[in-house]
Amino acid sequence: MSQSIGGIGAFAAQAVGQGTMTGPPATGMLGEREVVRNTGKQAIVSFLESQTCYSVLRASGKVVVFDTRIPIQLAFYALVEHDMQAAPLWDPKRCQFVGILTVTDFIDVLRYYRETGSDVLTLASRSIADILADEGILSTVLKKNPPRRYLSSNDDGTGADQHSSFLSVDADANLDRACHLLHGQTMDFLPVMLPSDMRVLATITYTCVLEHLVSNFREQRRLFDDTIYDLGIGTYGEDVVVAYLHQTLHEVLHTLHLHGLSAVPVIDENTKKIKGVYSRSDITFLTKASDAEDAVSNLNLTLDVLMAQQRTDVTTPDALHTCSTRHTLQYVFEYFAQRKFNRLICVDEEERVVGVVSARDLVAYFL
Amino acid sequence: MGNQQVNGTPGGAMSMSSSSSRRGGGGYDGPQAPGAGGDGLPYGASGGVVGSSSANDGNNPNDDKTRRPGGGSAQPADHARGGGHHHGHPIDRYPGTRDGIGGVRRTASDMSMTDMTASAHSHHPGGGGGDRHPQPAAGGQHQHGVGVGPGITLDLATISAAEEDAVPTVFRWEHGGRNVYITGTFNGWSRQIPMHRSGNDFTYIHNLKRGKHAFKFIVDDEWRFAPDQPTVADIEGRINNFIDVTDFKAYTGDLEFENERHAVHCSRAAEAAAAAAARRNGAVVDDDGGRSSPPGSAARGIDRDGENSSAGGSGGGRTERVYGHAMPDLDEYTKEPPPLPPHLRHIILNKPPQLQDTAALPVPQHVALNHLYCTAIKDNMMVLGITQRYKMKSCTTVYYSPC
Repeated sequence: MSQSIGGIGAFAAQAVGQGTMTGPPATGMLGEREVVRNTGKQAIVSFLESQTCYSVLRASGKVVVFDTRIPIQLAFYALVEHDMQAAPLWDPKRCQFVGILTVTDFIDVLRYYRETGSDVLTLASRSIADILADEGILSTVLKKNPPRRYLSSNDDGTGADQHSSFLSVDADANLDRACHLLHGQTMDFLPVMLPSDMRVLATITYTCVLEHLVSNFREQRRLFDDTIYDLGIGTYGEDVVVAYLHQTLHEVLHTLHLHGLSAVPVIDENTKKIKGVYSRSDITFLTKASDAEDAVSNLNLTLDVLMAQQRTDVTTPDALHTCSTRHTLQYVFEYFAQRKFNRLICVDEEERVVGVVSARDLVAYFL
Repeated sequence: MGNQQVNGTPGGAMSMSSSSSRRGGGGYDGPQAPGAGGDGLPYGASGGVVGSSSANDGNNPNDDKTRRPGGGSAQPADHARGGGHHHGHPIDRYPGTRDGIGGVRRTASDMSMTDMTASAHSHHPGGGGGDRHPQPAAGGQHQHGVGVGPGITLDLATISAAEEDAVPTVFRWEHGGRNVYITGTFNGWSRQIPMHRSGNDFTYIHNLKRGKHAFKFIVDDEWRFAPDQPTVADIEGRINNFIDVTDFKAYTGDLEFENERHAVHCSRAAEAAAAAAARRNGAVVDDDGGRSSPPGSAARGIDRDGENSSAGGSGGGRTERVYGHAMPDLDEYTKEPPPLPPHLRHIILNKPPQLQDTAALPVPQHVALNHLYCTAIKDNMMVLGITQRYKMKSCTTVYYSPC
């Protein structure tokens, strides 16, 4: 196998050509290929181990922290206003961080209210601590592993070990550890903390890690000439969860929750062509609703209506990024360097969905 | 003082110019009546501070002079001027001082010290044979002089004078221009003084009399005021800069010196004047900020009521210097807080967010770190923000808190 010189930043047409080898390669070449594959993998792994979480931080970043006593509705609006994805929660009584609030948590609470038929207007006055204490909500609509992310308020603050339940990574720990934490706990946001100071410096996601990787990893050799399909990165075929245009927002959110996804490709059920991607953070449009009641009614809208709406409330709406199964890992990295996607939808020549590759999958490959 | 003493011209020691000129060469000349020199002599004024009273004899000016130093130095310059009588004390009262014209066996200071003590005990301060002039009771001042010490009396007097009168002030113009002049109440708006240029800044130094002064700059033939300095509007609505040097106190950085200067200041002024000064010094607490004087001022405030005696003042000031129990005056509550430094007005959270990355902020100035900002309370919620540094990166925490 010829090795051409070039780092991740160089794009080469050869990549696609090489990727079209679908049949089982000759034994000799297989061995070589394995070696190259592993070398590439190892290079990234050692890079991750050499970098600390500190290096991922922005030069001047912002963290929004909520006191658990404030009403959850206000917290939701504040989060959307800052256009942040996640905010750590601080409990002043226990003097520690107790969890992370994301935009979708609010909508999950709304769904809960709708499902149980409770009066949504009471939601306006409930504080975050209230919600966290509500066992009903915790067990039904919040993410599948709620105890991981929230400290149950039934626990007594018996000392410092309570603090360790708040999953975070030290600023000086290496990226490898951070990724393992993210992956192992199936979390999307990992706070970077200074434990001595009780300060959250930032929350990092898989996308952050990838961004850091593509901008800082420099290697002369071409290491990733295998296709993502061959490498097994992503979800393909039957496992791909999709949503249809005629579905309501409520159903879509339920699907997301069920499978623990952050987004789904949206398909036209007639042509089976991909129409877009709907992610959890897209629900921020609900802030335009006048009150909780109105917001809940939005859950009945169908996707085709929603996707036709102009998104003005976020600065960079989640756009649709596609690739083909024949693209190599190298190509994916380069594309990421340009576009910074959260996920790629693998489509075939007729724009039908065949798979999804998310940032999480990409990073998980190297763990 | 010491060296002056050696010269045998005590008068010269004190007020320098005046007495020495009178002396015309020193008091060694017998014929020169002490009285002549006495005008400028502080000793004279004090009436005998001390031994001076006794030793004053036209014939033996030496002794006279030798005695003077300690006590005389304690006298404020104005006293010296105001005075002018003294003398007439026979030398023989002070054995051992008759050394002849040039000879002074001990340093004048030593002499004066001992003499003062001696005179205090043995002589009526104002007395002495041949006392031709009324001697004001010099007891208190005399004592005071002892306390201060002869070595630095000269400087104290000079500085005290300065404190009374003129405050050297630097005027700056930092807003560009080719030719910048300044004029103000300190020269009666009479002429435009060219300022000295240094790069893009213009400066001028002037000794301002105590009080408030207004001034304005003429930049390239245009009357302008400096927007970064305090301003005042006149009756016609014209805006001038102004500066208030009423309470200016030069910072010397030496606690001992400050104490002694304070002691001089207290003793010199009359009771009422001292009370006013102490009050003013108490008020200066706000202005001085982090200087060493405020705690001392508080102590002076206490002194105001009772012991205005210099000894009590200096002694008390020294020990109670750091903290005091004085309640602030009512007018201190109405004072404005110090103005916000301008670099704190650049709040990075208020800048519009970048498009691509919403969690990124502009890099803050290091001087704005660790300052807590807050918003007005709305819906029972207050938002706080603080920017802190970790290694080379900054992180701004925005905290939503109920209240």
